[in-house]
Parts: sequence; C-alpha cells; structure tokens
Amino acid sequence: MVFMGASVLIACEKEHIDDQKPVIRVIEPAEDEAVTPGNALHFEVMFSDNVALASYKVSIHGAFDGHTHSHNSTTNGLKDDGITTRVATDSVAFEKTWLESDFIALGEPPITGKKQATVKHLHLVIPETVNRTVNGKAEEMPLKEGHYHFIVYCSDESGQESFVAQEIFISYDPHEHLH
Amino acid sequence: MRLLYTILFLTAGLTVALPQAQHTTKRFAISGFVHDGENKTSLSASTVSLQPGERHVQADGDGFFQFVEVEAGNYLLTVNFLGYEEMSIPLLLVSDTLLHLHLQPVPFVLPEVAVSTYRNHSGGKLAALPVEEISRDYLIKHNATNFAQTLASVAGVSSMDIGAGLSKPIIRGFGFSRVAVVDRGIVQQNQQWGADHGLEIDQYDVDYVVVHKGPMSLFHGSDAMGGVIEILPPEVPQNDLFWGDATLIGKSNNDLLGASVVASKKTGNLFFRGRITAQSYGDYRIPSDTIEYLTWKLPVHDKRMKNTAGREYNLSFSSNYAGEKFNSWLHISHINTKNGFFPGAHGIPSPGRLEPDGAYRNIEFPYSTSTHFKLVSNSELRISDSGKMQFDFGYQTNHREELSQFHTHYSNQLPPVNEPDLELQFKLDTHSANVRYVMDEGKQWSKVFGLSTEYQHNKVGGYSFLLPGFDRFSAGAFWLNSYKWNENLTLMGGLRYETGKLTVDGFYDPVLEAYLVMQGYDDEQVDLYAQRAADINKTFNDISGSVGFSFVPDTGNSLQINLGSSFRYPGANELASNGVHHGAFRHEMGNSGLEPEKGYQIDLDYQHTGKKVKIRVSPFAAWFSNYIYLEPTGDWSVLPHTGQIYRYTQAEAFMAGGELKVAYDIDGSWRLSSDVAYLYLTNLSDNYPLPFSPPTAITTNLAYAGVGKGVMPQFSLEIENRWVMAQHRIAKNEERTPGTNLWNLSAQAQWQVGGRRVITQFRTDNIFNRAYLNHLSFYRKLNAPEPGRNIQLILKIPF
Repeated sequence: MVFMGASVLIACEKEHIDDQKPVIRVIEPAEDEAVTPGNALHFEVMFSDNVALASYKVSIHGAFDGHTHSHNSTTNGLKDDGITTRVATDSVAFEKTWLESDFIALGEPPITGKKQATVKHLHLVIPETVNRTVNGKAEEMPLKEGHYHFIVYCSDESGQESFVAQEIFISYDPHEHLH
Repeated sequence: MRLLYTILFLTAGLTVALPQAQHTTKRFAISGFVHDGENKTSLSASTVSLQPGERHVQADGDGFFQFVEVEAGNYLLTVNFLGYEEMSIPLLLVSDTLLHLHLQPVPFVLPEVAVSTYRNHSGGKLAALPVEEISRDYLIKHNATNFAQTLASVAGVSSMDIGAGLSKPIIRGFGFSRVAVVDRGIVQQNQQWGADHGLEIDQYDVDYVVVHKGPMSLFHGSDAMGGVIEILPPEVPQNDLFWGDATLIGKSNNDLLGASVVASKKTGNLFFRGRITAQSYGDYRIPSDTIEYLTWKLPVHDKRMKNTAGREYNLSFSSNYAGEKFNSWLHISHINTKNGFFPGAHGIPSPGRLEPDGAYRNIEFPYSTSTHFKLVSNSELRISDSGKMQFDFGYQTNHREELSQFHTHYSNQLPPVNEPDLELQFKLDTHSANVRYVMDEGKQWSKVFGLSTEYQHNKVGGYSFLLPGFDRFSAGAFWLNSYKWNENLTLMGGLRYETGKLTVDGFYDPVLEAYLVMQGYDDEQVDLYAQRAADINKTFNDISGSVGFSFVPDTGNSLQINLGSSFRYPGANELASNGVHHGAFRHEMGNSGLEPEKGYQIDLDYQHTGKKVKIRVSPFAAWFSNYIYLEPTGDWSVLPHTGQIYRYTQAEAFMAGGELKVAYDIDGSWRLSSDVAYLYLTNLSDNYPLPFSPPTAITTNLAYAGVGKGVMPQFSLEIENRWVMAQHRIAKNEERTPGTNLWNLSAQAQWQVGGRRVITQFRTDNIFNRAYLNHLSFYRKLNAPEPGRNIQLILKIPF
C-alpha cells in the first residue's frame, strides 16, 4: 500500500526540473599562458545554457596548496618544490575575484536570461605589486612567481553551476617559464 | 527452511530419568556432552540453555556442560552450535541426568541477516519497525575495511566512503546526523555531520548488531530519524570458562594486514573480555591509470590512489557482574585511526601533486587522525517481580584532526607557531545518562518509562575554520507501551518529550577581515564573510510519538505497521558556520533561523516464511515538513575555490521506498536469494531530488553449503551479483552516476584442527576488476573509480 502510494506519486511527478548545467568555453587565456605582473590578461569566454544563464565569476589564485611534493621535498616536510607558501617573506601570492558586476561596470552587458552569451576582450590586470598588512604593518610586496589557477564559474537561473579551471603562469621574466 | 527434526538426533546414551518417588523441591544436576552427529567429534563452546530459568552455559573443550542445582520439573533444553541444527528437547527432571547430544550439521552454517523477533535489552519489542539482526558470522563473511562498509551489504543500508578507510553509514538515504549509532545503550557522538568523517567503531569488537530502519527518535532522541544501528553486548555463558580467538585479515586491493585478538573469562558472577585490533593498509588500487576530471586527465600512477593508506589501532575491554537482582556491564573502548586523503581531492587537482611518492604505505599530507575513547556502563536492578530499573551512563571523547601542510589564500596569514600544519581540529566531549523503569515485562501490558540526558562540548582549533565550538544539552522523557491484544496481535506505542539547548561560540576571522579589506571590499561585505560563526543561543522542544502493531496470524506470516514521527535539532554547522568547506569546494553558510527538522513516516513490514520460499517486503513513505539542506543562493562568493554561496534552508520533503527480499531453498544445499532496495527522495519545494540519493541496487546470491567429513566438517560457497542502477535523480549540482554490475565470490570453511574449529573466510570482490563510480563516495566528484578487484582471506583461530 505504501509502495502503491509511492508509485502514484512518482507517476505524478512533473519532471520539469532543469538538471542541465551551463556550459563554459574559455577561448582566452590559453592553458598555461604566461603573464608578467603589470600587464593584462586577455579574456574571452562563451557561456550557454539549456534554459537561461544567470551570471559568472572569474578567480585567479595561487596553485600552491598544502600537498607534499615528493621529488625534492626535504624530510622535515617544511620545504616544498619551490612554489611553497610556507613563509611568505619575499613575495606574496596574487589573488583576485572578479564578479560579473565588475565587468558590467566596465560596460559588458549582463548575461542573465540569455541562452548563450560571449564575453570577450576583457583585460584582467595582474598588478605589479601587492599591498598587504601583517601585524598592523603595511608593506608592498612583489608577486609570488609560479603557477596560478584561472577559474571561470557560471550559473544558470535554477542554481546549476559549472566551472572551468586552467592554469596561468605569472613571472617577472616571461622567458623563465619552467615546469 | 529445513524443518527441525531435532529429536531424531538424540541418540544412544540418553539416560532420561527413571521415575522415582521424589520430593518436588529436590534439586538435581543436568549434564551432558555435545557431539557432531556425523563424525562424533565433540563440539566445544556450543551454547546450551535451559528454560524456564533462562540459564545458559557453554560446553567446554570436551563438549561437556552442566547445570547444577536445578529443581525437579519440566524443562526445555536447547543446544546451539554454529553450523548445526538447533536441538531442543523437553525434559522431565526427576533425578541427576546425563545426556549425549548429537547435533546434525546443516549446510547453511552462516545465517544470512536473520529475520526474527528482536528483543532489545530494555525488554521486549517496542516498535513495529523492520529490523535486521546481524551476527558476528555475517560480519566476518561480509568483512570490508571498516564497520560502515561491512554493514552496507545489508539491503537498505549503504555507506558513504572516503576512499577505502573511512565510511559512515546511510540507512535508506538518511545519513550524517540523521542516523544514530547506539553502542551498548549510548549514542555514539563524533563529527558525523562532516562529509569527510568516518564512524569510529572497531568492527571486530561487534558481536551482534541490530539495524532498525525507520524513525527511532522515540527511543534515542534527536538524530535517530532515519534509523539506528544498535550494537549489543556479547552473550555471557553461565559456566566458568576461559576462551578466545585470534582473527587474521589480509586484503589484496590495499595490501591490508590486520589482526584482532580477543580473550574472555567467565568466573562466578564475573565476566571479562579484552580485545586488541590492529589494521594497516596501503594505497588502494583502482582499475584505471587516469581519472578524467573536468578538462584534465589526472594520472594514477601504478593504478593506486596516492596517499589513501591508513592505520587503525583499537583496544576494548568489557566486564560484567551478574547477580540475582543486579546486573552490570562496563565497556571501555579506544579507537585510533589515521587516514591519508587523496591529494587530488583537496583543492583543484593538479597532476604535479599526484606524482608517486615512492611508497604505498606512507601517509603524507593531507591526512586525518581520529581517536575515540568511550566509557559505557549499563546496569539493571530488579526491584520486584514486575519491575526493574536500568541505567546507562556514558562518557566519550572524540578528537579529530586534519593535517595539511600550511597553506592559505590570505597573503597576510602566517603559519601558527605551534603545530603549523594542523588545519582543523575538533574535540567533542559527550556525557550521557539514561534511566529506565521497565514494568510488567513479558506480561500482557508492558511499559517502559525513561529519562535521558546528554551534554556535549565541542572545541575547535587549527589554522582553518570549519565548525564553531559549541555546547549542547538535551533531555528527554519517554513512555513506551506494548499491549498483547491476543495471541496474534500486539499493539505498540509511545510518546517522547525532548528539550535541547545549543550555545554556539561565534568567531570573527581577523585574518579574513584584513584580507577582504585589502581586496577592497566594503565593511558590509567584509562582515558577511569574516563572521565565520554567529553567536547563537537556541532552545528547542519537541514531542514525538509512534503507534504500531504486529500481527502474527501463524508461524509463516507476520505483518507490522508503524506510524511514527521523528525530529532532529539543527547542528552547529547548519545554524552557524560560514565559509569554504574545503572538502566540498563550496561556500556553505549557516542559517540561525532553522527550526528542528520534523518527519512523519509510515512503515510496513510483511514476512512470509514458507517451506522453501521466504519473502519479505518492507516499504515506507515519509514526509518532512522542514527538511534541512544546502540550497545554492545564486550569489557568488568572493572567496577563492568557491562558486555560489550555499545556504542551509528548510523545505518540505517526501521520501519513499523500501526493500524486497526473496529467498528460495532449492534443496538442502543450494539456496538462491535476491534483494532489491529502492529509494525515491524529493524536495517538494522545487521538485529536485534530495542530495546523496542512493541508487537502486539488486543483489542476487547463489549459495552452496555442504557438510564434509574429517578435517573440513563445514564449507560454503557463494557467488554474488550486485547490480547497481544508474542514479539520474540528482540534486542541483550533483553529478549523474552510471550504474554497474559487479560479481563477488566467497567461500567459507570450518576446519577441525587438533580439537579446534578454525574458520577460513575467503572472498573476492569485483572479480572482473570493473571500473565503476559510487554515487555516495567522497571521491565521486573527482570521477575517481572505486577500488578494483580485492581478494581477501580471514583466518579465525579459537583458543
């Protein structure tokens, strides 16, 4: 009897829910593209959704998480393979999030309600230096060089969300791109 | 089922009493030997019980047993030994009696999940809910790396796994804080709300488990919404005895080596038991050398999931005093585990992090450790012929840590001076006390009145923040009834009132504040993110109840229907926490306006036991007025590694499903059985399915069991097919999971070695080494396949 009740309910269920996530295609930057602080990253992306797009966000942050690298890690586990964040004394990891509202302020049309949208020719500026305050002391620090995550998120009107992550390489010497 | 022609196996040597004129108050001894009916070897450690009087003893090394000081009269003597037909003989005792009992071996030595009337130790069956009773032998036969995974072989139970080592139980789609594990009367409290937490129970120290499916709040308060896994104390023989066994475990998939040794002693009124368990395993193997995640192909070197190794060291001790009027248990256990996390699952994966580290048994960052110490006392005091008092006291402390080399997104955050790599730390202390008065047990109308209280104190530490510290106090009063209407019909029902108080320590994150200010956010934005937990002081109340009946028209059929309500207090994470959940890569935000979750459920359980066919159907349907879940808000979080902010929200929800089991005895040796578990879980506010919906699974099992002679008196072979359907019913932002079809093989044998029964249990899981995904697995979102083929051997040597 409970089974019957359940199956009646199942039969009556309106399967009109949107279970498709939006699709993101990043055209620029290219995977592992190198950029020098003080310059801008060229950004072009295509979004599409089966029903209606809602908004997007772009984030750049260091790709140096707390994992142990094996090939040249020391026994005390304190040193990583050159891109560690253990003690940020000489440089600082750059990090920034751009919301769609930041791009709209620059004149980009909103994507909300559209099924397809292309956002292009946006210049994401990687600053020359970063200001930070540690223990009340303000300092201007150079950017930590190395690999960064470049992540684009997109949502649709039902709350489905997808993201695409790739890496960029930030270095003061653009020829020094070693892996 | 085979009928029991027990009396046939009573053979020569039976010297039942010659009638003599005796005084009825005289006392006699009943003694005897228990033998194997086929090869005449003695069956030591068989259990012999005598009714009325509820006396039971274990036969010694020669198969000898004795009851002394037995009053003359009519008795029923029952003998049990694993792998043999139970023997029951009526006795008219008029003089000292010596018996030779010859038990007949039966093919089906290992009871599948037994389906019988369960009597909990608080006296009688008090809810008309489906239960599955699971014995030690079932647990050995289905042994997986941890207790929750072992239980997942029961229809309607699944496990949520983090690799091979850590798992938490799910009953009919209810998991996390919606299922309670009750260990010897005390609700186990750990960090069960967290996706990367595993249940800390030594599976080798579990003798007998009862899985209750359905709302059990009435008995155990908040959290016992979807069901209860109840671990019961061991049976104690009445005769003095020293015994024990050593269990050795080896598994090929993760190179697991384990040992568990138990020793028990019964002397007079006292019983002692101690156990030590150690397990160590390496990185588990998957049937693939790459994981395709988003646009990456992540390498899996040597097809082993890097850094998923683990270790477990457990100690436990139990003691019992059994007197005329007073019976008391003490259980002490200490569980210690350390488990590596796949580095690809912490943060956005990068192939660099998956380079082999040269070893498979090492545990590097990131990893988690957890220790769980528990002290439980259960006592029973008989006050009169019709009443007894029961007391449960528990103290437990759960200390869980996650370690990961110091890393931060906030350039102004420096590593802590002490323990710089301690990312998260939780210390939860729980004190519990239950008192029950059991009245008229076994009579027409039996009642239980009870009070239970629990106090929790949670402290947190580490350079990251996930859950705030809190204090929680709860107290409940309940009244349970069981009324025997007639021989076939029993009515059951009860009420519980519960009140709780939760105080959450707020936390404002100065590092995050400085970072956000630096990023140029305004004060309002900064406050929204830097207030990692709000100060909360909340009081909750609830009344829950249940009514049901059990109807047993004849021995072959039984029907139970139960209507019950359940409740759960929102947790500190749901009410207060705010920030990135590093395991889920989500910004999750608590909601201080949440009300206790409330559910109403109807359960039906019908069993038919025929001569050859056994059928069990247990459907259920439930409605929740305010189910708590994480809803995407559509607002982006400005924090790195996150998309939208997910906020805890409440909505109406509907759940239905159940289990269907059919078993067919082809002949005395062959048996075919099959079970189906189906679930349909829906959020009624937006029609999306609820998150973590277990897919439909069909398990079919063909077993052969035989009786041999000489060194191998018992053996069984089993081939199992597990067909898991695809899960397309997913919540927002979950992934669809394709189905799979797996074959498993198991073989068990009992060996007669120098007067001992040695048991070997051989098992191969996923014979064809198939790559498949588990919808509930923590590594599912990485598209990481589940463990591949596993060959395991368990050796149990009694002493």
